[in-house]
Amino acid sequence: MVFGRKKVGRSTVNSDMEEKQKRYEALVQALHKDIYRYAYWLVRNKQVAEDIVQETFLRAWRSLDSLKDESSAKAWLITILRRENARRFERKQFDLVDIEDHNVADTTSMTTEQTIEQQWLYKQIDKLENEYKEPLLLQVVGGFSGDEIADLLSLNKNTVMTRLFRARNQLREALENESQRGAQHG
Amino acid sequence: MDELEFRRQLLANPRERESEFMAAANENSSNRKLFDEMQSFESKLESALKVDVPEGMAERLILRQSFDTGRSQYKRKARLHLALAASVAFALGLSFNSGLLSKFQQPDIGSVALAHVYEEMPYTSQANEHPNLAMVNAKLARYGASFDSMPGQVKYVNHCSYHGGPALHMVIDGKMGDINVFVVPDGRGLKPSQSFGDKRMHGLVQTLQNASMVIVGDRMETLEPTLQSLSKNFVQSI
Repeated sequence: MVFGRKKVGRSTVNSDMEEKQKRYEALVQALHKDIYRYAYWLVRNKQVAEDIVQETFLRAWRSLDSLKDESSAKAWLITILRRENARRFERKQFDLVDIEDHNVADTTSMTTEQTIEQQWLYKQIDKLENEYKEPLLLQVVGGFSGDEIADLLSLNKNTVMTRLFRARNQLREALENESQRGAQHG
Repeated sequence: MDELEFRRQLLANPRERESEFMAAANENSSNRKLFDEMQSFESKLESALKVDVPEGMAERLILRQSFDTGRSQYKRKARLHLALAASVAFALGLSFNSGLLSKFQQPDIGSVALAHVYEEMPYTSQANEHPNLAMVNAKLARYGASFDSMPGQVKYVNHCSYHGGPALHMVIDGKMGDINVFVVPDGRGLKPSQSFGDKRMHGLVQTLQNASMVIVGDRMETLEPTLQSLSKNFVQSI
């Protein structure tokens, strides 16, 4: 009798574990790319970005039960990742830049001119202040709305929209200056 | 919506498609032009931000977590074993003569195989170590057996703990994914079974001289030919 009960308990534990495992794997498959790209732009280094993403997902696994609603998973992971990143800064100040050796996605189908333009855009994005860059990343990479970004960054929505405006405005101005310079040289 | 507000909203979110905003976009040619310009700007921005993701990252994330799981399960198991040992001692003391022991049921050989396959899946499904015949036979030597020739496309071979004793665990390529092969020496006290399965996997058992060969594969995998060629190929010297 005692053994019989024990066995039932054990198999419930196993199937709960399997369920959790499946949930975690689905989360990884669906979101690891966005999360990595977000981390990459925050820290501008492939290895550090991957380390942070590893930490983020490990923490996510350990507290997966606290994620009640799958639709908020991305925001939840971003919150963990931002905390991880902040922790890294407390430990040590990094200043690693390997932005130039990073291959852009799908370069094979691009002309050289497009690649050069994109590399240039990389540097401009990289030059943005964090307070402008982060809302932009959340919007473009994360696909979050103004309200959601406001929640994630603990800002009000107007501030977020202003920063998004300024981020793009800066990039556009840089682009215009560049093409003017190009015209003068050309 | 005046032009300034239109411009403000456009740059804050070029992918906005709300009706009042779209009306403003179409109101005059300069708005229209700026709107189009920002669409192509946004496409460039999107593709620049979409940096390559390191290859195999999803697999690494799952693997790392499985190690974490293994660790915590191990701790839990150790405690469980201690508790179990205590209650076994207690039960033994109470009921040695009462016949309760006969009710103590051993699991069957197939369900042990299934549980093992699930438990080790995070490790074995990542492995592809291309062991050769000598490596497979070196592991098998302990069980007094060998294969005449390579039993299919072997990805992984090792000893494993099979209901408290050693067994050979081998993973070979099947048509529907991995096929797990176990060679389990007799005397493990497990209940015999010939075939077993659940929703996802099924398996077969072949009785050998002093051991059993257990194979587990996907529900859709036809296991009989694999088991036949494995056991035909299998030589037991002890």
